[in-house]
Amino acid sequence: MIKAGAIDKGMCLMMKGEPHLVAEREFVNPGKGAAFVRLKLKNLRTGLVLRETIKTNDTVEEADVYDRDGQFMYSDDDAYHFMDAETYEQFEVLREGLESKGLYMKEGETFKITMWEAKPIDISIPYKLPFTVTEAEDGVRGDTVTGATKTVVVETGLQVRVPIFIKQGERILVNTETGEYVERVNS
Amino acid sequence: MDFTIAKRRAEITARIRDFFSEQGYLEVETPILAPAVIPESHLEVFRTEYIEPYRGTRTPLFLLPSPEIWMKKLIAAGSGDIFQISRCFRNAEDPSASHNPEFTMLEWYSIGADYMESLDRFESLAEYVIARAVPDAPEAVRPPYRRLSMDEAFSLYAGFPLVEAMEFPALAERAREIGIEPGESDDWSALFDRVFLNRVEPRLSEGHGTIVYDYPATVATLAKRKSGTPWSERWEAYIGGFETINCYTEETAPRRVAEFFESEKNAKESAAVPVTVDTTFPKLFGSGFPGCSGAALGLDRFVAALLGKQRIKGVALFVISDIIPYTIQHRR
Repeated sequence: MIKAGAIDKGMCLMMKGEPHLVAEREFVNPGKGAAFVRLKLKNLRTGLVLRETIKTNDTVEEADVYDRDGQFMYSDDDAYHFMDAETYEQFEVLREGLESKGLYMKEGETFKITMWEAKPIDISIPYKLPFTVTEAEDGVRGDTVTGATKTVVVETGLQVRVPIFIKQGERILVNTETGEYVERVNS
Repeated sequence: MDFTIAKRRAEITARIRDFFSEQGYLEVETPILAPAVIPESHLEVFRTEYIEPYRGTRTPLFLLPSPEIWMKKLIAAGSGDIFQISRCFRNAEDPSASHNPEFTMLEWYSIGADYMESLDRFESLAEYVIARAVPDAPEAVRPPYRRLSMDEAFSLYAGFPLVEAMEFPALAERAREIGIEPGESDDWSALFDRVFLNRVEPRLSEGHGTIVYDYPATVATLAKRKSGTPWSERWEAYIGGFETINCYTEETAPRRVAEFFESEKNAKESAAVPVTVDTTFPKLFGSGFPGCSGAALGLDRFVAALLGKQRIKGVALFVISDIIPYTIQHRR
């Protein structure tokens, strides 16, 4: 347990029984009286934002949260399977709640796995990632309309809308939050 | 650096001066330094010292968190209506979109007026300044402002009228009903703040400018009690997302001022910067001190609100992070 006055950005706290990351922290003195700290917290499991204002001498529980590097091996119906990059130990992360992340994970790549009380609860996907186009139709001949797009598929099965000039085998950068095409990667 | 904002701020400040001059207020300049302060348990001050030449005697001095102490001395001496635009200092404030340890305050006192007359005056001021200097001000920051009593604000946003929770057990029960657990060391004021900060204040900062009036008298201030009620004659304005102004009908009964000093002095013992309390201050309020109302407006915030900005940085040309480099701030 720590005093709320010692809370800093980036800490992980237990709030309402759930692990939360402190995204913002501001001390406030509401006129005459005790000092408070205004917090903006992100639920590490659901991503939901929680706003709480508590007294600086309230106690809060730190959440037992840490990151672990895992090399993505394969997925099945229930889980994503990883190998710890240092110990070679294999572990799994349940798909439930993380279904969309699988579309951004290439086999063999290493990801940060958020662990809470020694159980994996989240996988951090970098904001932008390169992928190889595995299925693409040829652009329609003579179609020169600026901004024309088509849908392609990349090696993870993710479908992305791209400009018409993108060809099969080319590499593209994708925004992993929106699933949108960013640019063509010249290798 | 954006000088467009600096120019607009200068224009707004000039019109504020015009407004008060036209209304017959005398502009004053009082010291920023004082050897002793009004005890305010929630504020930390900056301390410095005066060194006498040759003899080397050192006198501790404080940078004032507001010009109140000197302005009330002027009123006691018969100044009449006065206003001041001055620099104020509050230590151990968390720098944020609305806070900087050094800031500019517009403070004015109206003789013979009460807090509601000051509210009308504030709305006239805002109207005057907007018409002349900020015709493009957002609709939400234009008067007339929405007026809510603290009791109504609790009914609307916390789900219960505050008047039904003026004792700790009642407030604790109501707080629990809305999911706020009282802290072990909470007294009524702390729990009031807890509910206010979590449920009420965030809503006051949204939408059209809002005035909250009639604060619980339990929250000790130098505001006059509203007779026959549990409230004190105080209001605050939330404009453009900022808590912008705090206003009282000033307490002028010497005994009440002395009581406030006593209660705050005890609360002040845990201060990071120990202060010297001005023990002569309560004596100002003898027979000659006129009834009056005082208002303190955070000028950086007011300008930011009028210009539709969400932060004071930019309106204040340099904030603390500009004057203390990051590396120094984090050398603990």
